[in-house]
Amino acid sequence: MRIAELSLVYPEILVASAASIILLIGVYFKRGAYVLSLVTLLAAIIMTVAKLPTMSHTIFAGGFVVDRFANVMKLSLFVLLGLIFIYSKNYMTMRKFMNTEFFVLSLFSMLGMMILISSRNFLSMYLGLELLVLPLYALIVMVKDESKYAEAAIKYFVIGSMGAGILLYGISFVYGATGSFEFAEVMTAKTSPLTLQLGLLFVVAGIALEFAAVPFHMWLPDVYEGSPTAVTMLIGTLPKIAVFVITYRLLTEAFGNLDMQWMHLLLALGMLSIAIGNVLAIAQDNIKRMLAYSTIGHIGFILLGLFTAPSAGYIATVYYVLVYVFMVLASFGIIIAVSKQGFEAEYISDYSGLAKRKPWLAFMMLLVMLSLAGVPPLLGFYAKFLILQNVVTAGYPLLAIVALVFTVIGSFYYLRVIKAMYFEESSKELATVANGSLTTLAGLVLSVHSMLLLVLGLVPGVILSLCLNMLGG
Amino acid sequence: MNITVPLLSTIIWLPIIAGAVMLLWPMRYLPIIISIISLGLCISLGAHFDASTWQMQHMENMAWVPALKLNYTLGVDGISLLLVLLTVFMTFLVNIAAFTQVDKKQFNAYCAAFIIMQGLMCGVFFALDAVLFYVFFEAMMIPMFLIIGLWGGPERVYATFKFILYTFFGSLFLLVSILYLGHLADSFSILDFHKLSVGLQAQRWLFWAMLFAFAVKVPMWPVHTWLPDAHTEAPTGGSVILAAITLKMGAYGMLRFMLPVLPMGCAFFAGPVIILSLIAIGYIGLVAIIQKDMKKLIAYSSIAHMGFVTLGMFIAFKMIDSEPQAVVGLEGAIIQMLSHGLVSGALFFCVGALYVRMHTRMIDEYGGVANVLPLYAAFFMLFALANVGLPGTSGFVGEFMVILASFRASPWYAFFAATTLVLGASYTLWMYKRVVFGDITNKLVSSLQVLTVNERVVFTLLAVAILLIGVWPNLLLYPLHEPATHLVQQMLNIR
Repeated sequence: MRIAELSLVYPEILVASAASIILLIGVYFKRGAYVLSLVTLLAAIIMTVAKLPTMSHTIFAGGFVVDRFANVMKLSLFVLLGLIFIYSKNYMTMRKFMNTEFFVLSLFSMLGMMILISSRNFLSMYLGLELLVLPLYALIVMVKDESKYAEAAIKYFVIGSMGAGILLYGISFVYGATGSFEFAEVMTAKTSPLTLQLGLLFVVAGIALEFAAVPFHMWLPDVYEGSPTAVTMLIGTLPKIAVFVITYRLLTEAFGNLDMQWMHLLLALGMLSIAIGNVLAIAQDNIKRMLAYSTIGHIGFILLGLFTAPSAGYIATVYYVLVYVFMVLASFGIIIAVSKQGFEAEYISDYSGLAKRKPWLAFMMLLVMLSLAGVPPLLGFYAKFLILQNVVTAGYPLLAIVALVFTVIGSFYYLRVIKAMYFEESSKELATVANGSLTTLAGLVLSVHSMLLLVLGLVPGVILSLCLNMLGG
Repeated sequence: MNITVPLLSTIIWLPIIAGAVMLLWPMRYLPIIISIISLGLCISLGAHFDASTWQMQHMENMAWVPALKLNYTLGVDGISLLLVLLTVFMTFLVNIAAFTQVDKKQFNAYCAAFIIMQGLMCGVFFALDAVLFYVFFEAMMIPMFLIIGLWGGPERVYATFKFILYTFFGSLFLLVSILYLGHLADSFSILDFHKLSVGLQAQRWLFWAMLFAFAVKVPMWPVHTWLPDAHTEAPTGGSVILAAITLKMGAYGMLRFMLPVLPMGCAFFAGPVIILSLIAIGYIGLVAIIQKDMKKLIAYSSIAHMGFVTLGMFIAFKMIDSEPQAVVGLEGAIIQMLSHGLVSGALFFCVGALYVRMHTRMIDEYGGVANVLPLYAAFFMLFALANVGLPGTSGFVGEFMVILASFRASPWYAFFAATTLVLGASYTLWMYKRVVFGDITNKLVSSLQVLTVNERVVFTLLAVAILLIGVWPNLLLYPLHEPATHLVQQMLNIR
């Protein structure tokens, strides 16, 4: 390894050392962690933007790749984590939760995602994945006074470990078949197809578990419901990007020759997720559970996009992932804004009459819900549009219709939130609930964030050209 | 003459921006001002319109999403010009009527929703890019969803969910069809779609997908069931815009997408569509007779009248050898669209005027209104007769032309279509008799307040428009003739 190679991993080094330093400083200055974390993220953003690689560099003996795609995805992680910190500040303070560990654990989890995004062999992939999830388990139980947090954390821990086990099992098959951990060597190895296919099967299952695709979805609603909203916001957004990137790398770089096999696995997982996620979301009264099932439905679309990717390209799916995470982050931001000390806006009925109490928040929620439902001219529509275009172009118009039928069924539960906000009167208890828990800065950022769903929906080409640029045209 | 201002974009975006501004800063007279400006813009558009060609005019073209080959393309021909005029005119009337029909606190949001919708609806009629069309087509549903849900009657939530889920369900087939055609044409321009020759098998599939998408909007029997609920529960303005404009989007979609792009599919399945249209005319006409609720009655009458529109369009395929007759049928269908917009809108305004005074729509709670409000009774009479299709009113022109064309195809079609003359008269005039004539049985009726100034303005403008088209239909036929002839040539060029 040459020292020069280290310059490519400056962002990772920065995040790792900053997280450690914040942990130390936090012992003396309880309030410093928030600002320092934001400064760290800002520095990481500047560092990454200043040195966007034009070509792909593989370093650390082939285990770590730095290319444009990876760095833009990391950039999105920095921005989104910054938003999460800003939105959760007051929420955490009100729950006596505003401590150094929240920021440190989040930063370490993000470090895991960064490693995952850049990994090019199975070892660094596994390392990244574990670093991603371990801090999350701890984050869920940071508030000790509620038993449901512990329940969610244990459930997540057990399922997460099982997923890791399945993944490792798959990796061992792949290693047995090819004798290598390197994605590139797995791709070119001459080997017995059956063993490799078994490996593929387990690896895809492991990834589906991380993604919470049906039938590996059971843990997601419980974890979403059982975590403090600020942590749900983290679990529901950033890991999706990282897991998507590693899925992309695995499928194209390690299993590129087996695309006929994994395409059909993804098709089955994707369509099941779209169907079951959207139908089960209708039955939910808890908005976090509803968003969990909606996530499952959206994951289905991402998998459907990957299914058509070998013939139609990956741009659509990358676009979908970024847009989805951006939308869902706004929805959690609004849930936090409506919650306050001693009151979690968890049930859809908690949003009754929001349009009268807080017209601007209600309007933002309206935009977010319509965007998640995929109604034009909001950003979410173009994400669906691109995926469906790929599906139709690849020659499966009927598949597109089936996916859309479930989307229409799904639009019902998004509209239900709008119905609660606009068409219902708030109960007396709700009317006395005072202002939500956002700082002024967070309120402003959240407003811009939600309005962007509309504005970028009018000029959908902006993010699209970013994605095109990222994957090199 | 060159116009440097992008006129079509202004007609679309000015009301949308004004509506957004109104939501932030309430201004009582802004909606009227915007409506008048929009009307002025549309009239200047009409003045600079060349009726001697079927080509799209005032084209605007900009790259929108180059990576997807989506363009922001707008254009206007005779058909869209008239529909846009209707849209702007009806929204203008809704804004005038809102002065007394809507609570002061809600006035602002109410009018803002309508003028935003006006812009979006004009966008549907101007769009020449299929995806742009779809975006406007869907975006328009959001304000309507809120209008019905916020200001509607007691069952408004049920009605608005039924409405929006129905239409979402319809448009998903439209989206997939557009994607498929876009894949074939390697472009999303509607004009490129027109040049496409799609294979017969694909045309048949696309026909059913698109028929379903647009039939929900029209609405055709049997996918009409959202309409009576939505129209009945919507506030007056909502019912007017739904009946006058939203229903026309479905028919307009058929004109733009189905007939020219899928002529073989349409010809192949013209029979079933004609039968569905005749069912709408006959069966739904019978259903209308027994309604107890005035708004529901008008809603069913809308479905029956829209049956003429679909009949007029698809009858052309049954007389491939006589192009001029087919043109008459198609023109009749378009005139019926416009006339129905005016007449059903007028009837909903009439019911709305009673509703704000009495807060009931039930026919049997009225009776003898003519004794208290003679002027109102006169206007209502005119609109009721226009709904029946009395010669001299706009209702006559479209129906007559469609029946004329269907007679050429088969006397049986004409016979069943003509049942409307009996049925329409029965349900409309019977309702009129029960509401307006007779003795006053309900005390509230005797204390009805006279028409306000703004209501008189609305009724007068509508009466003038309905009579003008009735006695001088050439006013509409003049800009329509070239596009309709061209469309029939596209449709019948299948031999």
